[in-house]
Amino acid sequence: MKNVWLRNLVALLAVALFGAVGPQTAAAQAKTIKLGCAISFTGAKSRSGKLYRDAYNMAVKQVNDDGGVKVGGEAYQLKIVYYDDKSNPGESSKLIEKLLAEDKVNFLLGPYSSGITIPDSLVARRYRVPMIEGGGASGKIFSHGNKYVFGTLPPAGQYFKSTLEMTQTLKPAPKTLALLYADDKFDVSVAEGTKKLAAGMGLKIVLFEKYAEHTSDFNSILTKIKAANAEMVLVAGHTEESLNFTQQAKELNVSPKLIGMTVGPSEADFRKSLGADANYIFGVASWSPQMNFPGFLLPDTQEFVKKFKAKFNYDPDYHNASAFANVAVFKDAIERAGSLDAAAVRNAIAKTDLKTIYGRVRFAKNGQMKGASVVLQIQGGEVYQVFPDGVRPPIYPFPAWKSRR
Amino acid sequence: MLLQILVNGLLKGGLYALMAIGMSLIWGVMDIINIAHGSFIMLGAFITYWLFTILGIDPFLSLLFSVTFLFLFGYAVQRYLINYVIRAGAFITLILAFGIEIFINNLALVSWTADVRKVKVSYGAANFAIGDLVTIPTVRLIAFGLVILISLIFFLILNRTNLGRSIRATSQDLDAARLMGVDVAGTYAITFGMGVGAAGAAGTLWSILFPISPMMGGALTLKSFVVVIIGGLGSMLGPILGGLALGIAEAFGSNWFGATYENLIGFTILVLVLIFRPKGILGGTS
Amino acid sequence: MNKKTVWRIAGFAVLLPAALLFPLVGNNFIIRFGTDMLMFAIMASAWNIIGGYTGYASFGNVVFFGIGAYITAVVMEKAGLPFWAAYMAAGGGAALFAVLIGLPVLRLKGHYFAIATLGVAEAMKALVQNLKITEGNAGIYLPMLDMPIRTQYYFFFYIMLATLIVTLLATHFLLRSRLGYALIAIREDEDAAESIGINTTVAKTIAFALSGLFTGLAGSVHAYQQAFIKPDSVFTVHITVKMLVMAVFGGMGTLFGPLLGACSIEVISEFLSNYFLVAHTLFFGAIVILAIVFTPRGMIDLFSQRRLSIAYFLQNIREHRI
Repeated sequence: MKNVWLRNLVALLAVALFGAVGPQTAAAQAKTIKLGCAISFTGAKSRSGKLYRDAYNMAVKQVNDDGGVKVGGEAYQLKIVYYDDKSNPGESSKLIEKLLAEDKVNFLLGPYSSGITIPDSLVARRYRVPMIEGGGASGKIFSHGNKYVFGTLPPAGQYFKSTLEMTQTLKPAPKTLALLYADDKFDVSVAEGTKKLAAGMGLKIVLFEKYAEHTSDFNSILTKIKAANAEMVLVAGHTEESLNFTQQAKELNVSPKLIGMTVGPSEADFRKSLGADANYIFGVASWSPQMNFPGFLLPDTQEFVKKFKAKFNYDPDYHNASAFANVAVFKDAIERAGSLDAAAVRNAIAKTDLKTIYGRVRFAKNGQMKGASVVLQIQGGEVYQVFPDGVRPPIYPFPAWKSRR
Repeated sequence: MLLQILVNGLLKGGLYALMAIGMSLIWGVMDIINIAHGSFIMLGAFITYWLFTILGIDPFLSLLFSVTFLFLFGYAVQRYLINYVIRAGAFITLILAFGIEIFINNLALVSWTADVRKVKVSYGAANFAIGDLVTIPTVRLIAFGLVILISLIFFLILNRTNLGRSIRATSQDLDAARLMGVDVAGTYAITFGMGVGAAGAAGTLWSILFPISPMMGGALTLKSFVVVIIGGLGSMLGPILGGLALGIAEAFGSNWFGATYENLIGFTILVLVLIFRPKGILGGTS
Repeated sequence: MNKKTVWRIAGFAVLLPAALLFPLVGNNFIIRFGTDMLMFAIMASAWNIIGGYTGYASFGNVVFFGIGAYITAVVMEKAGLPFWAAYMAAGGGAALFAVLIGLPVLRLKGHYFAIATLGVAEAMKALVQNLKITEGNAGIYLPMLDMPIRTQYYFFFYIMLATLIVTLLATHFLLRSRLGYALIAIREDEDAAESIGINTTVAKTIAFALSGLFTGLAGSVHAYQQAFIKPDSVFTVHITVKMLVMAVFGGMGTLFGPLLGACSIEVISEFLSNYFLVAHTLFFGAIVILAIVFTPRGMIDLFSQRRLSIAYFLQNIREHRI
């Protein structure tokens, strides 16, 4: 951290002394393809933003080390131009305009979160430049006829599908469900989709409760869950909310038979923060490090997991893998298009059928990836894929808090 | 269930009161709206986190460190910064506090990254049950006790010591106090230090209960505003009553209307209290 | 014509052609940057009417911005009306809201007024997050402007510019009217103003409504330009803080101060975030602190000094320290 500080200070002095020196003086412009990305370095979403940047950078380095992107017999190096969107959608879309108008980037990589992806993708649409994003799954991104945005997360409405399917295999299968969700775009989509799926499976929804994004106190909701006596609780929210929910469930001694969450359990931070209290919680993800697919930039998923861990010193999760796949899709599509023309590349992206470390990437007509989520569970402090094709069987029911230790 | 909701509300209210008591003191005595209050809470939380993570110091023990450090820090901020503009009026100090907030938050962000961190103590989620009716989270109960203790200390300092007399004198009439030989600048700095020290205590408790990150302060400042206004300025009982009122209103409100209405309830109460009882629920009508 | 008016006319004469020609020299992003600068200039100037001239430091002016933006979204997307109708409705709606909320809230003074307006803004955000017609916290799309890209940028820039010109002209004529004198009298001493027969309630409410009107118009153009808005992004307290920092930085209670403040703050933050990807906000905080300590009366006051010297800064500190 210290040297970032120092570097900034030195840069400030340099600017003060020598006047405006452009930040990018490197000239070799002829043979680079610039990818533009406005993503959260600061603000509430900066933690997740980092997950994407790490993977983008790793993928770009891999492409360049392997000889770059080949277009018409010439090899191009990939380069990402980043800006900090300050976790602010208005700021973000402005920066996309800057990337396109001023930095003249060729294509766009997505930001993190559905709420920021929408305004960004509208700029892409205005300029008719394709954007591939791995950080926004809300159906609303793809519902407005925008032909220039492609997403590699499965549709939000389907997130809990695998979890619900799994519960049908459990004995005895839970019958009542409490569904909590944050009021942002992504989680509302998750909740509405899940509600339909649950009704189709004959589950009884005893509580369908929305809470405000960034809520820290779940005591009243937990009290309601206890009163409703729900066997299964599903939470569609963000990492901090998942953390709060879990600790407070313990504080108030609320132990349903199953707790499942969208965002949180797959992330290393979540497990580190909660320690043993994270055990037995179910998560969902479009990907898990226990999968093994043959890859495009790297031989297979396991190779990716190994390299990633060595490089960044944390376990990759689906955010990282999705971001890695975004760059892979660009390389593949640009090479198939055989040109840097935005329209040609867009059409090539739409026709993508690529085996990546993230799985097989194909896009539906609306631009969202075809795919499904898998169920994870934290067991003994590690994440295991438990359904479908689990490496371990799910542990059910959830051992009551009081009976632990 | 109703009883549990009431208990939830009361304990949450205790936490709110703990957050707001320092802001109330600073506002009441010096007429400074400390927008950076939440940032000081954040610093208290991070001090506890680092002491716990690096040195293994128990969060309740680190209360001593966070309160002391933030007292000194607050003292310095007032003495060497705010004191220089204080006569330019409340509005200017408010914007200055805003600058301080941005500065502290982003310094924390640059040094510690935006990672969400958690003080992992075994008793973080400890609780006990009274019959089958109510479950009481222990740490929240302690927070409740702590705010009563702090307000008692503040009360004693203000009413039983020479320092307290100086503080009250400067608060009532700055020039008169100076003429009487009160070290006005020093008194202001000590008052600000006390308020910020209380924020440090709130930060420590907060870090045991919730995950922390450099940007956590803004929402806490807003909540503290509501508490201070509802309780009214000028008494140590104000923030406690304000906190409890808000906690209970939120607990029942979110139970009846849904959890997304929490903020709507809080801020509507704030506006109504201001319009109808601008001196707080304790004070008069005008 | 007094000296002030001459200065103002000269100011318009220099600034107007410069602003009109601005889009012709820059790329799209520069135009967009200019549009945002104008937007903040409108809001800082509108804030100045209530905060600077009347002495009521509103801490919730963003509520008008958000209302303007959401009225535009709902009128265009749900009612299918053209932008011009939405623009009018946005300004009118924001002004009306200012009157309704101003009647009770303008009775409060100082801090209490500031916090009450903050509360109104936060409560309104929470309300919009829960309403069906605004599509809740998930955000709402607006129809997209169907023009060539470059034309779109011109369109938004010139509408924003026209709105700013109207704002400044309205402020100028307001100040020369009886109402203007009433506002300044209220700022200096409200009780005295009342005792000489000024109807302070009416005067304050009109000032607040004008402030709301122009802020709402800025919100309307912004929403159409973004084509998608969320409660968080158009009701955030940070926008209020920005307008108020701009007004103070440039010079409260002066016609061109807020404009100057908006331009310089935008340029500074743009410059900083270009060079310091992470630490730029930190430096911004430091700049706010330094500006408040050394030039609490704003840059206009700084420029009006005949001779710029360290003594000016020290004088400010001496005046305000204890």
